[in-house]
Amino acid sequence: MSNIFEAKSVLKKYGNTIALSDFSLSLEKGEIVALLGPNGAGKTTFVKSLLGLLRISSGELSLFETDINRPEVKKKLSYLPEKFTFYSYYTVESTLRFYASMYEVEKTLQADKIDNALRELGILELKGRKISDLSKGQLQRVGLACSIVGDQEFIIWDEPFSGLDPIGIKDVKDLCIKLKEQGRTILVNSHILSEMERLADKVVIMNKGQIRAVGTVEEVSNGLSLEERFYRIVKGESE
Amino acid sequence: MINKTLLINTIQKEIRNKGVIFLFIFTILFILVGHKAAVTIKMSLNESNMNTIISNSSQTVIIYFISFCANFVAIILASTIFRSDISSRVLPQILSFPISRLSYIVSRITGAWLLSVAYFLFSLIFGMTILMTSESIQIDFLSIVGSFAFMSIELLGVILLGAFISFYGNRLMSFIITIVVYILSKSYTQKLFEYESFSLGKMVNLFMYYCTPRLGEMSYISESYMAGKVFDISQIIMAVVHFTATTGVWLFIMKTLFDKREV
Repeated sequence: MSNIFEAKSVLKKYGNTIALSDFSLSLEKGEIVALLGPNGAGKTTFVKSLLGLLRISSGELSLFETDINRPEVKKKLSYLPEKFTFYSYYTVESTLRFYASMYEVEKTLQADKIDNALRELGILELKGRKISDLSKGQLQRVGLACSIVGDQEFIIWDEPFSGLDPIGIKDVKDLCIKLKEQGRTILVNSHILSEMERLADKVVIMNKGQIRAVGTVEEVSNGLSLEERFYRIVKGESE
Repeated sequence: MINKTLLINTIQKEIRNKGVIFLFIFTILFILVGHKAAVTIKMSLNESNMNTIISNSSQTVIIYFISFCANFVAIILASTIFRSDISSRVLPQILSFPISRLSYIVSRITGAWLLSVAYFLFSLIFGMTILMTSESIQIDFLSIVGSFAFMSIELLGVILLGAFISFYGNRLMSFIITIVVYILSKSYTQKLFEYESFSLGKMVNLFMYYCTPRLGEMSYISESYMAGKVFDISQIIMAVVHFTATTGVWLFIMKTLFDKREV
């Protein structure tokens, strides 16, 4: 199996603060990987470094076995930020059209892909609404729709359950499984363990910028529930 | 290098800019009211000699006013094109698309430039149409084309300057600093080098004159064209070459600094 990304001994500092330290991780095609950790563990820093939005202090980062700083490497990935937002005067449809255009989706296919993405997230009826008129949950669903409109091979979701009600969370989990069945690779940043326990093929527990445990849910849990294991890892370090 | 989607997005974004909308309405009203006032004065004076002077003055005032407003529009756009993406937290999303940072910068600057040129062109055509339909004045279209061309180049320089400054300050600060630098850049001339004594001001002048796009020179050529002045072609070529070279260098510096920036 080919690597989607590979991080080798990545160090990221903000001044004297270490955000990522000795961070090594690789991701194989077709996996759902959950990056778990408390607030400030370095999850978003890692994702932003992977996208080239932050510059790593040392180490190596590659995407599809290519340097992350080459723009063409991003053709195969889509990214949902922690707090999705877009220009308030755009409609939902024009937002998705913007994303589709930026992902170089053929113009003739755009309308169908936009409808499909909105249907997947159950927000087809919001198509003509302005971004400024949406609720937090609706906006999050639009962000998720944007992340799948281009049919990217690798999807990065940073806190995808943020602002969603239980129905929304269930929809996202179903979507995640569906995307995996289509052969997509998904990296999910989250601190909602219960949602990820049944979904992820692989979990990575981070704390204070370092990987503390990595493997399948069973391997990492080691006889405990994921929540209990996570609690022990994180709490044990902070005490 | 230019991303079409981002270019269109820049125009859609900035056409809603309240400052630009205000200036656009203000320009139209100024032209209409100013012209009406000129016609009223002419009618009340009813002297052929004075009428010619007023007609010519109307044309000059309109052109100077439009040029001034176009520069103001360019400064407003320059101070918001990048700032609005940063403040609305859309920048990380845009830079996660398969585009280079240079492409982002160039697309945003080109969009703002096209909008300011469109503003200038529309105002110019509107002003000239008003003059032509109500007065028997002769408009030299070749002069207008020449003036428009150099004004467009100047607007590009203004936007580049303002966009560069906006990377390091908030919207209001960028706007004020850009205006100050713009006014200063217009005052740097070769004449200041004639003084023999060394001074810090002279060094700054030297740097500004040779190492930055000469906005003052472009403005001078544009306005002089409108006034019917004829330029030596070599002088024009030198001015354009210097402007292009320095603009390229500053764009490269901007790109290098932006490449290092974390978002």
